[in-house]
Amino acid sequence: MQAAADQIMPVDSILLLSISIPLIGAICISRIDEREFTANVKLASLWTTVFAFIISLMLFEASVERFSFLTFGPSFISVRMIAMTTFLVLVAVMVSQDEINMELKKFHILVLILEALLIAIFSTTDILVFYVLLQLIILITFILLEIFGKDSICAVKFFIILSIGSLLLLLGVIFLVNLTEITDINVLSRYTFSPRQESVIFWTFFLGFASITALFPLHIWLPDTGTETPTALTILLLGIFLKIGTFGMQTILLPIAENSCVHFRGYILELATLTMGYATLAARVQRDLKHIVSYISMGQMALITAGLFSGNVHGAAGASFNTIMHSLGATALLMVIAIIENRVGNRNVDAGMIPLIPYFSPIATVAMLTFFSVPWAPSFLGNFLILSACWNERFPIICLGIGFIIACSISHGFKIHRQIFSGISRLKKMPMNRKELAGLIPLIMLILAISVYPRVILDCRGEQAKEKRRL
Amino acid sequence: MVKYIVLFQLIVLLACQSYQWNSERENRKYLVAALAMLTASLATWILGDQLATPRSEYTFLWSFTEQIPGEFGLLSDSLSIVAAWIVCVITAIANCYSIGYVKKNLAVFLLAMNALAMNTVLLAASANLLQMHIFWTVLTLLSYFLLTFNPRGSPVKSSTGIVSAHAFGDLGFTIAIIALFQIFGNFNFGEKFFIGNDLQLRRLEFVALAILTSIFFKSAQLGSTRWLCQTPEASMPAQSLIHSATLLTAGIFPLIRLQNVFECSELVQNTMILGGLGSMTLYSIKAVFAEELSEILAYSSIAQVGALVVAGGFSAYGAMIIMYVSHAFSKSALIFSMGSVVYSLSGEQKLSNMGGLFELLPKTYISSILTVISMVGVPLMSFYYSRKVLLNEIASANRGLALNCIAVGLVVVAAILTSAYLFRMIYLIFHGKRKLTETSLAYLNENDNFIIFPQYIAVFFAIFSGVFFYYALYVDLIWTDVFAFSYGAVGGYAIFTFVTVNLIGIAVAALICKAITPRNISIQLNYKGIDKFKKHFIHIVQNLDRKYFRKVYLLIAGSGRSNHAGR
Repeated sequence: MQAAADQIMPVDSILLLSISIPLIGAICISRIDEREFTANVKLASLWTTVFAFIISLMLFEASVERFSFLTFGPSFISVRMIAMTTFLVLVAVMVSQDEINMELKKFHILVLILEALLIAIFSTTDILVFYVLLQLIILITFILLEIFGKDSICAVKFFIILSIGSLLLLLGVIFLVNLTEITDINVLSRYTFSPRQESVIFWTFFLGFASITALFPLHIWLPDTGTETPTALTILLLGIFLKIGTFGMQTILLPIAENSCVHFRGYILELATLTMGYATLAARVQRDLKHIVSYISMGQMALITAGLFSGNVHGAAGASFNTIMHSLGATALLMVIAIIENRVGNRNVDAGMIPLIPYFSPIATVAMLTFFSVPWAPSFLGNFLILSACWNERFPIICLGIGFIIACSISHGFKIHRQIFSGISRLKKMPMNRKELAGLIPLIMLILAISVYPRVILDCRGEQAKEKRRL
Repeated sequence: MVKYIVLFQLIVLLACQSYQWNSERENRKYLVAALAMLTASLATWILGDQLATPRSEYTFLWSFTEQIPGEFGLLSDSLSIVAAWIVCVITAIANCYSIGYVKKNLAVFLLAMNALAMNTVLLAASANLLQMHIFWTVLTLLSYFLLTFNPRGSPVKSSTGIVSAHAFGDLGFTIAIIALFQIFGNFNFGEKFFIGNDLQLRRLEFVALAILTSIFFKSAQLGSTRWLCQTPEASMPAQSLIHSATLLTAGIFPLIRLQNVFECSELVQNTMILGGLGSMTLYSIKAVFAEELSEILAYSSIAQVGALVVAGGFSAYGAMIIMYVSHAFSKSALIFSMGSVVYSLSGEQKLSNMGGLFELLPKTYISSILTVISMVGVPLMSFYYSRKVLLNEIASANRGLALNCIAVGLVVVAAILTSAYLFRMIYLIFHGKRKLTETSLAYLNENDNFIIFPQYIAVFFAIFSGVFFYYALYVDLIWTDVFAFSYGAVGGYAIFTFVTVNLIGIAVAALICKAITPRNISIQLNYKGIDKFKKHFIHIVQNLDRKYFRKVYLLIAGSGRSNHAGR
């Protein structure tokens, strides 16, 4: 099977293709006249993302054979992230069809470039390349927020906080490169540092990634940015952008500064618990649904961070499971909120209109259960693994605290659910249109499939073992 | 054997689904009810078979992942079959009842109800903690959806309490599972737990406390009673299932199933006894002075489940089985009869507005008086045996004289209070002066047979199920494989005691009815300071992220940008 796949198309060319397809699409779109062929811009963008998604699925087959190509070499984790990225960009473009009608060309070109950069950043093995790509991604996201956000102060906030974070990251990279003159992550992970050097590397890198993942003091860009942008951009932000931070922690920080990670993990777990508590508390008093989603996402990312730093196999597995499930759940819930906003005109929690849309309530319920990670909803398995990791690594109080916070957020989720479902509506019956269904139903099916057969995502131990043997 | 029940319930669910797809075809609701009855009779047959030849089987279904060594399977032993039988019978009765009771969206309601029944059977038949936890939480969700459903139109507003309470309960169980897995390395509770040393014993004590916390949340004991008291607007068939399936199977069933864990520590058992006694006594007193019908139903459920928890604390598992069965059936019979009253009064729940309905609703009156007679413990009926066995077990338990005496005394007091509030309820509803207006009385008449007939079936089970299980467990000694017990400390005094108890109770009820008439005014406490604090707090938290950034930003960027930013 593997050999056959290799014969048809070499592995490096698949990666090259999946990076270059969005760029080619962007160039094509830039040649279309926006005013005359508005539909063509949308269609071109949609088909490009579809192709990119299909190509990225082929990487799953190919990634078993390790290779390096201009410092790019996807591991199993990054292939999963790439597939998720292409899928979510596809969904975002699908959502944007109705939503964005001004500055159409700019939007699609920028999103496609962003997709290419994201694929590249998830597959790189070079720490400098990672940094440069991260800067480019922050820049392009800033431009997108500046053009399409409703409140320009959000974009400024985003840029300032992320600049601080990436400056710290730059310091860490300079320190590391000065020390070792090596930039390859796989080589660096076998390098031994003195404890002091390692702690410097750890804290600079950690704070840099924490600003992307929106841990407590560095989170202020997230809630407003998640709220004041169109749904397509919010999907990209919450679904993919936040995950760059945890991806960096998993693939760069944990291998390079392993001893420091073990040494400082108590602090990190406490910080994550604090962030979760703050996010849940802040979400509880919001009225805007998108605000709530942003805050709860912040809490979820903190939980994923806790899983990564618990220093346990189960914690890492739970973290990577939750990464995927949070993306899918947040995307589904944001699309549900977009549908509500379309019909009612606002996003308040007591908008109350669900009985009007046929077949909407089961879909909305599944999305909500997944997002709030109600026990034994699809995303709970990850939470369970992370909790058990915290318990087994002798952090019982943190385990109890995280569990308490999760329980609080679940009860809040059901409050929202009841408020949405039992409001009094003044509008006529409006069924969902074809575009909305086309976006939502595959997503819900995917979530349900994963919940029935979680091995698709969870069973990565074998792959990791294989990789280690190869190294 | 449980697998056949699950199979039949799947067929019922399919029928419900087909009815939901073709809601115009009204005849399918009868098909659903008939299939549910068939399932109930199958369950009864299986129960009889199990009584004749006790055995336990295990059917493997599928495994979860490699990282979590849990699997799905159906364990069918005496305990799971009893629980499954109760749920099947009550669901069958509730199916018939809701055909008469629910007028709007019947198909969805039947679907939700039968799904809850099937989920409860799967919970009863689970062979490891992981599976138990899964069906436990799904049971919460289904109860929530069932409670949100109001047969009269807009969804019920106060139904989120169940989910918030159970979220914390699930947390306790999750941590218990994790800790138990760390100690023993697997989730199965088929074999007895092996205790190696003191450290393991202490850890096991923690596990038992965590599970007990979650059980207190699930069974609405002291501290988390609010969710059960919040459900008055829900429809009566839904309430009957909540009281008999969710409350009992989620709350009390694990107490019997996980008895090995609880028996490891005396601290946990004493906590159980004290908590159960507290909620039993407090809520019996509260029920005596209740002003709404639904309050009485909720409070009496809490009190009786409290008695069950006390029995669990004294390791009286045989008594628990009898109490479990008789509580489930008599509570659902009471709810069905009271639902008939509420239905004919079109949703009126206040006791102060009722009275003198004896001539207008004769059939309902007979069924409710029969249920009440069974529930107050008149000799040779279910509750008489269940209380007798409970007192027996407490008196012969080896827990110190003081605790035994307090427990016996409080159980007797609770029995007096039970008969007091039940007879007061009957008196206020069916006797006395009529307080309804003439216009509403003109439309009031006896309900149709789909509401009346199920009441009588439920009454039959309420009166005789406890007797049957008493003879099966204690006289014929069939089930010695499950529970070991001894017979007789109370013995012949029981009849005398309970006749006296009931006489005192009736007297108390008459006194209360004379002295305290129910009022229309509800007392509301004002916490102005707390409200003010809450308002300020919410304001601060809402604007925290925005404000402190914006101030810094304005300092740097100057005021020219602020107009632009503020749009």
